[in-house]
Amino acid sequence: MDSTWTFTRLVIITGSFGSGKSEYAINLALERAQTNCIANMTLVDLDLVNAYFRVREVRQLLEDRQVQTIVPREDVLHSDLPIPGPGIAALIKNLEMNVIIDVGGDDMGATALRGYRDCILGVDHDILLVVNPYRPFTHTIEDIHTMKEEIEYRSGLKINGVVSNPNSGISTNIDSLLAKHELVNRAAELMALPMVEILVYRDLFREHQKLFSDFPCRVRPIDIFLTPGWLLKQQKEDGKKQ
Amino acid sequence: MSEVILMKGNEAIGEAAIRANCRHFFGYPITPQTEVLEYLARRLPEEGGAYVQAESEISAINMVFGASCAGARVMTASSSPGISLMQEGISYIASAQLPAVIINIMRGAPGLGGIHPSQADYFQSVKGGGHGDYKLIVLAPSSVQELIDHTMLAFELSEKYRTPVMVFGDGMLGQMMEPVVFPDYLPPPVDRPWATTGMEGRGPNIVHTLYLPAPDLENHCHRLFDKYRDIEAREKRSQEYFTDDAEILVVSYGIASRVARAGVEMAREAGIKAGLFRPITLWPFPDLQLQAAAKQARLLISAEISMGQMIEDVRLGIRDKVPVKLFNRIGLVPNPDEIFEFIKAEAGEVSKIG
Repeated sequence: MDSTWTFTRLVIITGSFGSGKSEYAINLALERAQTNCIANMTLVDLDLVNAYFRVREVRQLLEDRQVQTIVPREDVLHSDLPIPGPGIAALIKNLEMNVIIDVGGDDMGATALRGYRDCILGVDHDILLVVNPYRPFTHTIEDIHTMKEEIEYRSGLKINGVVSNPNSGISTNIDSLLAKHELVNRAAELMALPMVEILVYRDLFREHQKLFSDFPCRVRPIDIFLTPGWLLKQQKEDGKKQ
Repeated sequence: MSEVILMKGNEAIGEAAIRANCRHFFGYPITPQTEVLEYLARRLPEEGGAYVQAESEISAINMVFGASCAGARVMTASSSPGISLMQEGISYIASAQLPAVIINIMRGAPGLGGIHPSQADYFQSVKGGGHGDYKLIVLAPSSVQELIDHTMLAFELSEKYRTPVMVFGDGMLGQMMEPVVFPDYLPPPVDRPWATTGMEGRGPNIVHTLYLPAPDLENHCHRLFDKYRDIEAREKRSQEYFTDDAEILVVSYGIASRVARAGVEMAREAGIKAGLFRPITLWPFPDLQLQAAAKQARLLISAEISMGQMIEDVRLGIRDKVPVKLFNRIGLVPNPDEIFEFIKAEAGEVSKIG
């Protein structure tokens, strides 16, 4: 398995509703801007189909940490209208900029990519599929494959890598994480796509650092930004009781 | 036990309806509830059911009315403004004594308001909403798992009492994801000898809401209210945290009750005798349980995402024996720190009175 995946300057993140695209996009942007010191890091919120838990909610935090954001104009920021932020096409073409695009869920969300298809095809790019096999419509290998084809059909673009997010929430345990990751692995093999990385909550990553230090693919410890801290704490405590 | 899946609240409601053997859904999209429709539009045909997108919420509720008359197990879902449009139909369904489940994923209001989480439809659903003398059973889940459990319970109660049941959520509960497990649940068979299913060798079944002679209407209303008294006697539900010695008792439902729980835990850590009383049925309101939970209370705090609606039932429930204050926010789910600070300030006041 390819554990040395290198990202191009344009990373487009797709997947089913609730697959973890936005959290992944935020984590990836922060790491690339701060740890890898990549300049001109810009995160585009292209989620036009969901009205809650979007990148735009943490735009200040991102900008404080050297990640520029492209979100809809302030006067329509909280509207329930499918309005993309300004200047996305120019940003895609501008080779000085490093760009991550967080796309809305399912094929419906991926429709928003169609308008930028020609610009995207003109430059080096990655189109990644985030897969959470705990989600109802990416529960089986077959469903994951269908999701990929639907997203490709609507966007007119080809996915070139899989990101495995085998988490059932903040209280995921290591055994179910590994078992579900195996399912994503098999789906990736079937689709003949490389496994880019696996996402693991930072606490779980710390607990099992040894196991993850020798893992067949890259492992990305994930911090959660879009769920309030108090709710995560409660979910964790309730998860322990079960 | 079936396996864990990660679901949005709205999706969980849709799947719960399917597991409860509901095969008929009529609705109209509105944020932040639309995923209920999207999920059922996808899943119901797989189960041999019917999803119909009506041309408006008024149509949707009347389709629910018709389907229930004809003996179908049926559900609709909407959000605040859409639920307002449904009120006439809900009154008809209640009067005709028909089972039906109505989901309200509440959003910011009044008027067009916004798409934020809200709990400001309490008066509308708990106190009436439509015209005439009727009651709605109103359930208030506080997690994605409970959205499943309460949707299933809503079908049971609506058929047991032949009455419409409302399940309350809010934008956050509908949109957030939590791991859930669907219980091994065998829904009761649809048994409706009164339904208009075609005469087939029996006399006609007539479902109607028109009572022109005054005594008939009076008798009808008395029959309805005998049933409502029965529901009040049997179906009050609530949950309590740290209430045994609570001097400050927070009363809160739905998503706000989870914030309140966290705020109360912070107060306990700070040595304040705080507790939480959480109504699960908003009608019937668990007043006797509240009185028992408030035995040691010197102050009650009604914590809601509205300008203060449930607070009236809290005051009635406690018979005005203990002062009741309002903690509220609008357009957002508050932070536990805010409730904790409020409790702390009030604890200071309470101790001054001695």
